[in-house]
Amino acid sequence: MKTRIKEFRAKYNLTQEDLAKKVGVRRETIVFLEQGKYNPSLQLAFSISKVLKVSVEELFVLK
Amino acid sequence: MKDKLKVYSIGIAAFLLASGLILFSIVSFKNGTFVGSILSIIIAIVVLVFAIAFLKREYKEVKKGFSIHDERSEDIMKKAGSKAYLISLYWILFIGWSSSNGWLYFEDISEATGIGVLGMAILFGLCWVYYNRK
Repeated sequence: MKTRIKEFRAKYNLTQEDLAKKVGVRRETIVFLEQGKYNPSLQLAFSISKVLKVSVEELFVLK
Repeated sequence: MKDKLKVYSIGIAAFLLASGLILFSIVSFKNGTFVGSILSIIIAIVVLVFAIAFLKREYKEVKKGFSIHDERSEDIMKKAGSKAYLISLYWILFIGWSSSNGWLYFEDISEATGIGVLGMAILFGLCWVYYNRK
């Protein structure tokens, strides 16, 4: 799965650590998400989209 | 606090495992089983090195306010556990088959059980590393 987390994170000047703290996961999880190596649960996907103020469809793109 | 306790528990478990292996190595050396003795010492060193590196990293993360577990780490544990269990069945079969064929010789059942459990632990560790990097 392709994600645009990095792009939206940069928009709000958030580091990976900041985003990880806001959604309650480890920093590695954000790293793997950005690399498209991990598919998040629906709960995590919605939490990230809420923090980054975008819809889930905009954030995650099925390859 | 809960996460710090978890880190300490993992540290104690790793220390106990390494101590057990060192004791096993001393007993094996006294009994004249040099290969087993050297193998145990090597495994004990590997356990200690990995444990120190792992605990250092986890302690830093906990200090920064991150949780020791999240959905990805739990997912990895589940995947590694199930894969290690499946491979362990073949490992146990291999031990049974090779000892009945005379390829492996065990003094008693506890030695075979020990090798089996140690192999299972190593398999779990390898599976965890594989899924954590994947």
